[in-house]
Amino acid sequence: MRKYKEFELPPDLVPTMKKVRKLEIITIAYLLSVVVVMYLVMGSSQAMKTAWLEDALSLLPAIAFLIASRFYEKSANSKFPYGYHRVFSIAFLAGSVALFGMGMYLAVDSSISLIKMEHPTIGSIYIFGHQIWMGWLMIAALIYSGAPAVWLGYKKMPLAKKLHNKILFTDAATQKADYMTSFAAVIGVVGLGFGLWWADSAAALFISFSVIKDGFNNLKNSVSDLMDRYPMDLKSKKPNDILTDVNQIVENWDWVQDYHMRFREEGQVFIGEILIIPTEETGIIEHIIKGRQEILASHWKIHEVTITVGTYWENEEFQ
Amino acid sequence: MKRKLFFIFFTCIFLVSCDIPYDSGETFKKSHVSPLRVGLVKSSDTSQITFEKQLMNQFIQQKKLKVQYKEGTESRLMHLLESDSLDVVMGRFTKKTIWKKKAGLTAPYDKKHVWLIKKGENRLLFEIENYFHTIKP
Repeated sequence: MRKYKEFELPPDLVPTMKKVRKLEIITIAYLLSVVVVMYLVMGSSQAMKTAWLEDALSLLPAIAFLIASRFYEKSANSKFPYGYHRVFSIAFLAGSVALFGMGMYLAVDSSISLIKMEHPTIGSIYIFGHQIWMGWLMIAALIYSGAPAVWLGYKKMPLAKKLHNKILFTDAATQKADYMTSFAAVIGVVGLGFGLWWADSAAALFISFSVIKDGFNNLKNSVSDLMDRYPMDLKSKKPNDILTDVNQIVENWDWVQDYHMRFREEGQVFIGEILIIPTEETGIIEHIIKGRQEILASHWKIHEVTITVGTYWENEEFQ
Repeated sequence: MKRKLFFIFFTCIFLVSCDIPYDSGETFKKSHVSPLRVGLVKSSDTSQITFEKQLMNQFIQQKKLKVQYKEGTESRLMHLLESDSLDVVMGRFTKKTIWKKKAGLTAPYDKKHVWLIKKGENRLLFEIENYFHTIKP
């Protein structure tokens, strides 16, 4: 039996992938520094604790991407005949579960501190002989955790679209929206500064909802992918344009009377089958070989396609 | 638009930053008029009580406040602190005190011992820590 072809990114995308890996390494280093800085100034603020955990969790997509990007190119073998593309989906699922679970925990934790009317106490520190309220340092740490993250998000977004990579897209989208989390936590800390004890827990609750929302969306996407949902566009959530083009190609074949096509997403590539009802009985094998090559050449994301010939009766079963 | 909002927000914060932090129960402000309610843990070591009381009196003098003391057992005073009947409790507490979840802790006044204050009274804490800094050897 023919093995799946070795997967390679098209030459023009190889530098993009390299750039993305570099950006993800920068992201991890930066986020680690954020986690340390936030931990040092966190104190008893609930909003800070929540923002800190969110930052720690936002390391996951970057780590998942780097790990997955080491495996996905491995060629198919007798043990894994479909290759290693789904390593991206697994990494994506693991990250989503962690994000969703932590979001739920944070929401409960923040609600408890709000119900118990916890009044956070924040002290001060002396730096070069000047007394500084720790809340100011928290705000500085939150700005540090927000601004560069947004920049990284903006840098990664076009690359994610170019590579059609879901983990990367989610990572970039979450980072782009990270300023909201930081800003909510800043409002919580400033509220505390004004003596509004509830502002802190309320901000923490707001942040935990944003974590739950991200976690739930990612979970839904990753489970749908593993359930072999028809590939959707990353942003518009409509059927992917690449497959609409494949549909068009098959429509144009004059030896095809009727057909049914199905595709699934495996990591960052599409794999699928086309069942064909031919108009003629001769030269079918040549048509299939040529047709398969045409589809595979139409876009690098179409990694494998199996074309089979059936009768009408079989086609109904297929649908 | 977003940038403008951020700018306005941070400018407002900057303008009022001198008075931040405020107390959630306005304890420090009120103590200029009605006394600061201070709990002293009963102990056989009277010299320690005297020392901490002296520190408190100096603080009260420096910040021009009024004070009122109440002696009692540790658990009784902590109960009063939690139920908003006391503002500060003193009694050779350290950073590792078992009450640390029920009260706010000041910075240590002698590298080891702290005072316990009502939670959320961040201005009072700020002023006490300011005073501790002035008496540091």
